[in-house]
Amino acid sequence: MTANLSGPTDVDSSRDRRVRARIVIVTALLVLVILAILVLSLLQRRQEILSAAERTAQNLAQVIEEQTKGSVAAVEVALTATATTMRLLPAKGEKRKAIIHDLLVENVRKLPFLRAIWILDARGDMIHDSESLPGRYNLSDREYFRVHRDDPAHGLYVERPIRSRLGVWFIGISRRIDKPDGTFAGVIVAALEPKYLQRFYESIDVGKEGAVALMQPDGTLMVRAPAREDKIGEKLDPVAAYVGKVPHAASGSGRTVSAIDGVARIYTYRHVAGKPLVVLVGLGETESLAGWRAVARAQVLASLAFVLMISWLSYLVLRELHSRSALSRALALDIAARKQTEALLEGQRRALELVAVGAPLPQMLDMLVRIVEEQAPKMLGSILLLEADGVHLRHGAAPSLPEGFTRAIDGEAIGENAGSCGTAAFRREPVVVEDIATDPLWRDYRELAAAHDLRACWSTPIFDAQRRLLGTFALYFRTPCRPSERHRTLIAMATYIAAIAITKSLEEAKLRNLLLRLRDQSRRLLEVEETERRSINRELHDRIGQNLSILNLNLNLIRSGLSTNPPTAQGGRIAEAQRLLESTIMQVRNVMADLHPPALEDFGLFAALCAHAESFGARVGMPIVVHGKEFVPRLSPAVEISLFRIAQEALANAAKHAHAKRIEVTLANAPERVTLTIADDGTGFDAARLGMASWGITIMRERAEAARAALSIESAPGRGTRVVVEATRETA
Amino acid sequence: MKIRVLLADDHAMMRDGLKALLSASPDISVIAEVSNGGDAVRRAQELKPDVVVMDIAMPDLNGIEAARMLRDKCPGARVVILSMHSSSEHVFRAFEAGATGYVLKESAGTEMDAAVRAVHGGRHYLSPAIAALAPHAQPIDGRPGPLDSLSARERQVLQLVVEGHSSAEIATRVHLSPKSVETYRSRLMKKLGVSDVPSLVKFAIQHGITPG
Repeated sequence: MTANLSGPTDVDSSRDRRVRARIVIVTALLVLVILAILVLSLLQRRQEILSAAERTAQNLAQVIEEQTKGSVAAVEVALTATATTMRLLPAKGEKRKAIIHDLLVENVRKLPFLRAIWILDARGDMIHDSESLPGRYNLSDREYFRVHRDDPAHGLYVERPIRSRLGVWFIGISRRIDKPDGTFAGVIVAALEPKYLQRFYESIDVGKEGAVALMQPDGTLMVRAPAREDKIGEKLDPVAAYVGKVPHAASGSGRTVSAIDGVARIYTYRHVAGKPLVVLVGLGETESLAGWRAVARAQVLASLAFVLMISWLSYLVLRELHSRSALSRALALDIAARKQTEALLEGQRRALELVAVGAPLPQMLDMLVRIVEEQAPKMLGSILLLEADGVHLRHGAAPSLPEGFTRAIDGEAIGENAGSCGTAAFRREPVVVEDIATDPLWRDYRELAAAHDLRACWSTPIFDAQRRLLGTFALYFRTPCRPSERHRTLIAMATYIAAIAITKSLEEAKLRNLLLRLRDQSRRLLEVEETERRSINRELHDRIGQNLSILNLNLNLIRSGLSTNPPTAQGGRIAEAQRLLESTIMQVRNVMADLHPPALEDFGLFAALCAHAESFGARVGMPIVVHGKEFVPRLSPAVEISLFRIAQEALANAAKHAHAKRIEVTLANAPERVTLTIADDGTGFDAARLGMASWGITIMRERAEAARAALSIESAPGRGTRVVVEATRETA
Repeated sequence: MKIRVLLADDHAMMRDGLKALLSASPDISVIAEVSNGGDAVRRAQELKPDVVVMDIAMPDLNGIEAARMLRDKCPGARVVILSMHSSSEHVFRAFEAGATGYVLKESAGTEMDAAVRAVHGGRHYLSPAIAALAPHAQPIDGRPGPLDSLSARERQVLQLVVEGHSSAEIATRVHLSPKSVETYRSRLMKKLGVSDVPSLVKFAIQHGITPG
């Protein structure tokens, strides 16, 4: 008999232990899943922001490289033209010195970033000088002099920065002067003031922690913004080692700690094409991640609060189970209570899953209310959300309340005597109205409630982790009643989950805005880059090209005045100078074509595409066919250049990666939109893997965004690639 | 009778240089100078010059547009375009607009008088440097290019058409009837897939053939 009596109790207590173990395991798994999702999503966002910052740094570095290249090219042209003129002038004569001096002064005046130009003869004596310094100088001990004297083929020499006697920094750019027989005649040197470049660098917004620098390939600092004159001329080892790692790559990126001020930055460097210079752009890592950090802190706090809440609830449940099982030894097992608890845990789990997968807010709140309503009979749940003005409550979710009622209270202001919800929000504390018909808080809404047969309403404010009010959670009943302990547990669960769901959706909206702003900024950068390229291009065409052509014309006039039979020495020298001038003009033309397609400026997109297809096709040894015709009226300059750059990128990709044999470019014109298609017959790739976008495709996407055009890339392995851009026509 | 030339360039020093250069030739006289495309068209209608030398990039009305207007309003004047750009696209547009000469700025000093004489004589003129830069002057990978599909006679006719000769002139030079020259000419265009003379000139430049 004794054994029989104790039998059921043993079975029950072992079942209780199993239930308790299950609760502990479920709670622990839940906590783990929440933390894992939190960590993964934060890490992913951090990566997105860092690569966006890296792209921004790369775009900036490109702009700076172009500008620097343009400045150095202008100095190079000035030095070459001066050296040429010197050779043309008669060797003797009073006027020679004055003419050369005027020329030097004119060059210094025209190029704002030059401080002085001077010329040394073969012994190193200064024979001309734009500043007319008194006294005689012999500079044969300077490194640039030795370099040019010993190496006729050295070309342009860029010296490390030097501080002048007056304490001003400058960078010497020098070139050898040859006698007609090729022997050493001296050196012409231009002193470039780093301050000019520095001012340009300072005008570029790289943020509070960002830095821009120009260095020599061995890491010697030449120009820096923000200014650090004390470091100019120093070789900065960590950066040098970093740039030196890939010395032959044109550009690269990475993260490192600055040797100058110890700030961790996202760095991008670019070698200035054809010049012994490296441009370095660094964006502050801490600064770039500031927005992310704030969001991350809020999310971590919210998640921790939530995890604590779950643990606490589980602890309550366990304790209750424990006391119940103790009770059940004396009485009977309260199966109904255990079912309720399990249902509560199950409800909690489902609600949390919804929050974790990131469903839209209205859907999450709707499900939450339904789950709460399942836990006990006769409850009608409602969630109201506080508007940004902090005064009005808007409909959030109320799947079971009559629609007429929810519509009537939507948008009401909070305050004393504003029903249960308005008053709870106003007082920032729970408000329990046991009977709507008699409670003064419902004075203004009594008839509305009566019309929909609502008799009791308990409302609790919803707060975020910083105790900012987000909204209210309310339970309505058809008969007057007061809350039980179980109701309070349900309400606590509902408000916590609602708080997390609302906070999460607000933060996601904030992050989305941040990403949109970043994208907008990168679009503006592209515009700045093109404007800058166009203006340097115009400068080259209108001033330098024009002046060199006139110079050549005048030399021709001088030469035609000389006797040709017998030929004079001057005639030969002028002819040689003209050949030099013609090759200089050709170089200027190549620089111009690299900067901005000339046919685009003069004729339009179709002409520019034809010209590019022709020269690029010849370079890569492949026929490129262009179909279409010029648009009348022309597209806006921003759309034209964006479409052109996309085509340029797509052609380069097709030739470089796809090993195409034939490429067709089609420009189609409909009344409202234009379509540009670049199709090749190359190897193609798996278009489904475009998520892992390569650099070229990213560039095309950014260009398409800048032109507000739609870009699509169709490809499959072995089927070739089609890049299609569709831009809506803005009538000009 | 001297060749009467009108100069249009927005750069005064360029105009001075060109004027000094052209005036040095005994058979050429510069009758007017203007600094933009609109004035070039107006003065040309007034003075009926033999040749108009125009910068491609001018304010108000550029050289190409001005050439197009001159073709309608002053059909007797031949147009020489002066330009910094050497792409066949630029040359094609200039010829399409009615110009018959195209001179690179850096070569103006040495070539301008020859260019004026050539277009005045009804021939085409193109700076030789442009053909030297032609992208398809060398065949790609030794594959036969479109030029290889032409017979020797067709190549000869192509060269003469590019130089600006009429069918009648070509007929006298190659000892054929004008009708056979016409036949050669249309067969040639069909083989190369072009439909007008400017496109034929563009093709020729791309493949390194140049007038003269």
